[in-house]
Order: sequence, then structure tokens, then C-alpha cells
Amino acid sequence: MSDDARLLTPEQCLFSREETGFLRLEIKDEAGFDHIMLRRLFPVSRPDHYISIADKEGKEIGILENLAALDADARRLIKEDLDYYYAVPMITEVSEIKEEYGYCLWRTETDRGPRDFYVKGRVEEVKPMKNGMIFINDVHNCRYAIRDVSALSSRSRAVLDRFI
Amino acid sequence: MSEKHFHLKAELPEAAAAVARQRFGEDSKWRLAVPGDMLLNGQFGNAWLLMNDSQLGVLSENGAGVEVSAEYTFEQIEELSVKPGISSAVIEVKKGNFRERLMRISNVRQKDFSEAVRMINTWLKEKEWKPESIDAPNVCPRCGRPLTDEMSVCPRCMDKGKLMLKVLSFLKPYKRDVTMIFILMTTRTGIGLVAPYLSMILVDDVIKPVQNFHWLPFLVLGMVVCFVAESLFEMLTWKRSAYLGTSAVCDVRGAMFHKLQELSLSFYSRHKAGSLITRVNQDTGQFNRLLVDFVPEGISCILTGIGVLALLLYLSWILTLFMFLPIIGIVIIVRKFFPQFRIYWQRHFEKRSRLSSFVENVVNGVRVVKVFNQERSEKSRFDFHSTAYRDTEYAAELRFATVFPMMHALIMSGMPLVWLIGGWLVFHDKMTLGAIFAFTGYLGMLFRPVIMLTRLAQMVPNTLAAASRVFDIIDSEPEIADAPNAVSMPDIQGKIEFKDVTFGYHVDKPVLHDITSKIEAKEMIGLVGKSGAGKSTFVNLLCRLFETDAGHIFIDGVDIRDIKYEDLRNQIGFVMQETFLLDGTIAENIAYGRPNATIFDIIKASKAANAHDFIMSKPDGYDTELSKGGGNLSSGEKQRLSIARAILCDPKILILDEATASVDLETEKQIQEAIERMVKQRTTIAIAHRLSTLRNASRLIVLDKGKLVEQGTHQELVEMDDGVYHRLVNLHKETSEIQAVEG
Repeated sequence: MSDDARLLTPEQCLFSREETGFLRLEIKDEAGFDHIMLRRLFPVSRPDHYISIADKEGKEIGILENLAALDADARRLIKEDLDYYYAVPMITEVSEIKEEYGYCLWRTETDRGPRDFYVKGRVEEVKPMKNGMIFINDVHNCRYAIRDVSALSSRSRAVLDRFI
Repeated sequence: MSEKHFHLKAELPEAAAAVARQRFGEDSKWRLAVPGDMLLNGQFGNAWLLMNDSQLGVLSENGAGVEVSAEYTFEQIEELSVKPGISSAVIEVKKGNFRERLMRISNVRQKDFSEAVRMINTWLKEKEWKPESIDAPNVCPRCGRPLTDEMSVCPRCMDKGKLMLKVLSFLKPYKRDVTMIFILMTTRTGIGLVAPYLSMILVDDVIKPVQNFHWLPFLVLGMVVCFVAESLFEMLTWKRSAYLGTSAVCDVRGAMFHKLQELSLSFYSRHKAGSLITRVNQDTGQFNRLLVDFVPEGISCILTGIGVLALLLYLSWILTLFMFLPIIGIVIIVRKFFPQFRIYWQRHFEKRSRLSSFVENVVNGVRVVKVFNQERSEKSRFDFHSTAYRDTEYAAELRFATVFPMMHALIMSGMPLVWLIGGWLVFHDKMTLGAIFAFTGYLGMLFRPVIMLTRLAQMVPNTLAAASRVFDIIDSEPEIADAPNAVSMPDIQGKIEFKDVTFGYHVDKPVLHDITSKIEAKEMIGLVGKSGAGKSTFVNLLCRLFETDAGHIFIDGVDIRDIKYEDLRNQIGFVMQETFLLDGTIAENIAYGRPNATIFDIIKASKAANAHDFIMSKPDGYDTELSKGGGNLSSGEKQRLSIARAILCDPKILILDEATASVDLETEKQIQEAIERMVKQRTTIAIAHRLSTLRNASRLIVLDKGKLVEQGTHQELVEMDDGVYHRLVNLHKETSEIQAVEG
């Protein structure tokens, strides 16, 4: 008995940031929603498509099909807001993977700064995804990702070689 | 917990402390100083959540230094909350409609912050400051390594000697075998050392001088005797230690499983089932390796190593020194490459299991594949998995192909060295030819201990970590135990009372709030509410599968914590929604709660449960073996078996969690009849989904979001126009009308 899926067109949406830091959506000729909540429907395969927008109670207002169709400001606002939920550090350099006590200590550089983290076992928590990305889950259930192994430095690739 | 060890009050680094002093006053006394690891912009960086007597503040460290990034007095906020994301979480402040993001943390810090937020919220609401940690920290306070539910002791900072003693304590019952093995091992090593020595005599005193010919057969015979005796002792040692290790590990597994059975459900809700199974299987397997392989192998290698080294030094210390060249090379190779081998093999096994589960999946789903005409795409998916499997195997073999010849070359490089240096020594009369022969013999015996000991040194830490995970379970205390003054209540009447009961599976998320309700003996209560309203939790608490966080539950006026656990369990029956049948026959499953029931009792119970007829129709009748939790039964059949099981136990209090799975009308009717028979003469609490059950109930309790919102008879509640129950019934009618139309 759910409502029909509704695609929002870029033209009818006006995004702005409230004073508190949350996003506000104004649908032209319809209604305004403050403190909207954004979720990716395909966070792995199509992170920039199909963004679900819900009101602050969590009820879906509609779906944005493609972020690229939005103007630059709106896109930036939305990406910033999504980041609060999907803050997966992208690994840019792996300097060492050290095994100890059934854990592996990964020493890495990420797009969010340098980071050392512990991963359980050797390969169980290192998961290649269909689109070529690799997800790594640490013992505290933080996810890290490598977008494209072949784009890493040869040193990083040598370190990773045994695990991927 | 003393203030000193309170892990939510960290020492601020000087720069941050200075800023804090400047802003919040020189003598500000911190109640909390929780270190975070992210900045609001999503970059990693240091931040601190601070709380003193009058306000909250957040310090963050950016490129320029430390700044105060947020500041609130307690009047400005109502509540804090942790909003979890994929890898990180956001801490939000709320007052009325106002919300703001206060700080961000990665999931590493989430546990600490949830605790801190809970404490702050209690303070904001009740002005009560309770600086108690319920959860243990999730990183080791000494070295920063992670601590998890599986591993609550840091593997690096734990007392390894103590742990080793604990491991060895499992050998205590086998003291005699241990002594025996030690004697056998020492003897074997001693005998093994004799043969090369005989070869020295043979060369120096018989062959080279060409004399004492009559010694030859005796010396050769001596060698043969040595070899035979060595093998014999080896065999005996092996047999003994295999028996010893396997038995000791069997004890460990037993102790662990026994403890797992004893532990309360709240332990299980904290641990993933998968990780527990891993611990029973894999970690005890590691334990097994420690006891069966490492300890005896290690001791034997140390004995041989010492003996051989002593003799080598005795034969020629100069030559021995040169031998360290290849030995060091071998140690380096083993240390560098062997751990890689394990990783390659593990990857290989993983790919193999993926391939086989893929094949299993497709073969089982062959109808779907054919119906949707996807044979071709499945073939290409198979090729993908199969190629991945081949690649990992090839990669592993490639490594073997390089490393093993290298090792072999290093080992063999000892030989020319011995002949070169040894030959020179013989020419200078510092060594005899026979000594060179003996030397090469001993040298061959030295490499194995070197390789083994190097590997052991690498693997022991991991194995000890596994052992400590095992002890984590064996040593944990069951939370639910009989109170010392527990009373025996063999004959419960069935009067139940909930008084201000509050409970949550996680401390910061209560599932039930202040539930108060009275249920008379022999009453039938329908428990109603949406999924997630707290119905199952309600009955779990009544069964004392979990302890309440606040409030009391009374049965016949006695707090259930004061009733003997066994009496309580024996008189509460549970028909579960997900019927759990164990491997075994139908009869065994019905009699699960009362193994000593007579055959006739079992038959009577299944008659009452309307199960007799379908059981009869099975070729093996009551002896029908159930496979995989009753996979060979329909869901209606399983439900009736579980009703029969409950009827046979004849509980004073019956909990009925109705299955939602739909069954055909005839079966539905039969189940309904069985339930009606069952609820007579006992207090029944039914988590009801069927309207018919609800109508039969003498009273209904309606739960919504963990609160008790309505109670009364079906009629009373239906008449409340804006009531939760009223709405539920309407919804129910709509769907059942649709079902009726669809037939």
C-alpha cells in the first residue's frame, strides 16, 4: 500500500542549506520540506544516481534520478549532505599490511587523511565488488574502499598483492 | 569502576588543554573528555567532546591548531543523539525543533560516544550524573589495538605466561602421558645423535687407515640399530602425543560448549552466531594445533637443535660458525615467504568454496535458470568463478615453485662449505676426515628444527590469540543464575504481574518502557502490536531469557528472580513462531521437553495437536527422521508438532507465538482447534496475528513502540474509535477480505 515511486525533476527542486546545517527542499508550486534526509538507492553501483529524498520523519518525498542533471550548487549541497551517511574513506596509498594476532593492521593514506586500521583475518573482510571497487571492513565495522587497484602506486600494489 | 580507569575521560594534549582552559575557565572540572577521530568536514582529525558542570563543548584540531567548534549550555539542549552511517556517525543536538550536527566520529569511536551520549542525556533529563561504564572500551587502553566482543583482552598486552599456563592446565589430567612423551622424546633424540658419530669412527678408525676390519660389521649394525630404534621411538612418541593432544582439545571443546549452553541469551544477542560457531570450531582447532602440533614438535625441535649444535661445536667450532650463513638465509626465507603461503592458500580455498557454492546454487535453482532462459549467463558466471579459482591456485604454485628450490639450494650450499672449510681444516690437521662425515650428518639434522622453530615463533602469537578467545567464553560468568535464596515453586498457579518493567537489548535503546500489567491465573491474553512493538521481548522477559533493566515481574506474587530457574522453565511452555525442530525422529522432537514421557503420552499429545493423522500418513510414522530442522515437513505440520511438544510438557503458563506464515484453510482450522484445546486450564499469552485467536482471548494487551497503550477485551478495544487496536482490526479485515476474494 505504499505510494507510487516518484521521480523528481531537477527543475522543480530547489535545495538550500538551513542555518542548522541541514538541507531544505522546496518543490516548486507544491511544498517545502526542512531537514530532509538523503539516501543512495544504489550506493555501490550508482552512487550519483537515484537519490531518495525523505522528509524529517523518514517518509520518502521522491527520488532524484541523476545528480549530474542538477546545477553545481545543488549538487555540492547534496554530496556534502550524503557524506554524513556515506563517509567511506577512499584508500589512496597502502604503505603496509602487518599481520598480528589474527588481525591485519593496514597503514594507509585516504582521501580523508592518513589512517591505520585493524582488519579481522587476512582475506575474509576484503571484498572485491562487481564494479572493480574493493571494500575493506575493519574490526569496528568501518568500511574503507579502494576505487581502482590499478591506479594505486606500484608500492601499494605490491603490498596488496597478497590480499586481493 | 574507579574514576581513574574511566575511559571516557581522556587526558587532553597540551594544545587542546590550553584552549579548553582559556575558554572554559582555569579550573574547569571535566566530567567527560571523549576523544573523537573526525572533523565535521569528514576529514580524519582529533576532536574532543567535553562536559563540565555547566556546559558541553567540542574542541577540534584543524591545520592551524585547536579551536572550540561548538559550545552549549545545558539549557540550550534537550537531548543528544548518535546518528549512525556506514563508516561514521554524526552526533546531533536537539532542542524542540532545533537540531544541529555537533561532531562526527568514525565507527571506531561509536561505542564510547554512545555511552557518553547516554550519560549526558540522563544528566539532561534527570540531573543525575552516573559516570559508570557498562561497556568495556573497544581499543586497548595501553597499546590502541582493537578489542571486540570476541576478544576482550588485548592479545599483545595480555599476560602470555598466564595464558600459556591456562592452556597447559588442560594437560593436567594427562600428567603421566606428558612425562612419558618427554622421556620418549629425549631418548629418541639421543639415539638419533649416535649414528653420525658411528660414521666418524668408521671413517677415521676403519676405512681410512684400512685396518680393524672386524669393527666394520659392528659399526654398520650399530647404525642400523640406531635407525630402527629411532623410528620406533618416533612412532611411540607420535602415538602418545596424538592421543594426548586430541583428548585435551576434546576437553576444551566440551568446556566451551558446556559454557555456551549455560550463558544467557543476552550473551548471544551480543555475539553473532557465526562468530560463536567459528570459535567452537576454528579457535579450538587452533588450540588443537597448539597442543597437538606445536608443543610436542617445539620441544622435540629444541631438544634436537641443542644436541646437534653441541655436537657440531664439539666436532669443529670454526666450521659450525660458517654454517650460520645458510641457516640465517633459511630463517629469512621462512619468515618472509611462509606467511605468504598461508595467505595464498586461504585465498585459494575461499575461491574454491565460492565456486562450489555457486554450482550448488545453480543446480538447486535449475528450474529458475531454465524458466528464465539464463543458461548462457550462468555459464559465463561459472567461467568467472572457475577462472578466479585457477588463478589463485596458479599464483600459489608459482610461489612454491620459486621458494622451495631456493630453500633447497640454501640447504645444499652447506655441503660445499663443509668440504671447502673442512678440507682446509683437515689439511691443517685441525679436523679428521671422519669428523667431516659426522659433521655433514649432523648438519642435515639441523635444518628441520631451524625451519620448524622459525615457523612456530611466527604462528604462536596467533594461536595464543585464538586460545584467549576460547578462554573468553570459558571464563565468562552466566548472568542469569539462581539467587542464593531462590525458592522452589513446583506448582505455579499462573498469576502474572509486570510492574514498571523497562528493558533494552542494548542499554541505550530500551525496547520496553514502564510496562505494568496484571494477568490472572488461567486467563488467555492476546498480545497485539506492530512488528517491533516489543511483543517478543515481553515474553522473553517472562521466561527470564533476559533480565529486566528496571522493574519487576512476579509470578504468583513472587519475583521471578527469586524463583528457582529450573522450576520456572519447567512450567512455562513456548510455542515458537519459527518452529525449531532438531535432527531426530518426530517422536523425539515431540518429547524434547519431557524426554521421559511415555509413548502413549506422546500419541495423546499429537492427537490433541491434530498432528496424529499426518504423522500416521508418513511411511515411518513417529519414527520419521526429520532432516535439517524439519525441511521435509510443511509449515503447517511443523506448527502442529511444536504445539504437540508444548502440550506434552503440560506447562502452567503457555506462551504462544503464532506463526504468520499462511497455511491453507483446512490446516488453519486444525491448528486453531489444537490451540483452543491447549489454552484450556492454563495461563496463556498469545502473540496473536489471527483475528480468531484475538477474539478467543479473554483480554488483550496492546503494545506500541515499547509502551503499553491499551488493554481490555476485544469488544472494549474495538469500540475505541481512535485506538491502536481498532485500526489494526480494520487493517486486518481489509486484508482478509482481499484474501477471501483471491481465494
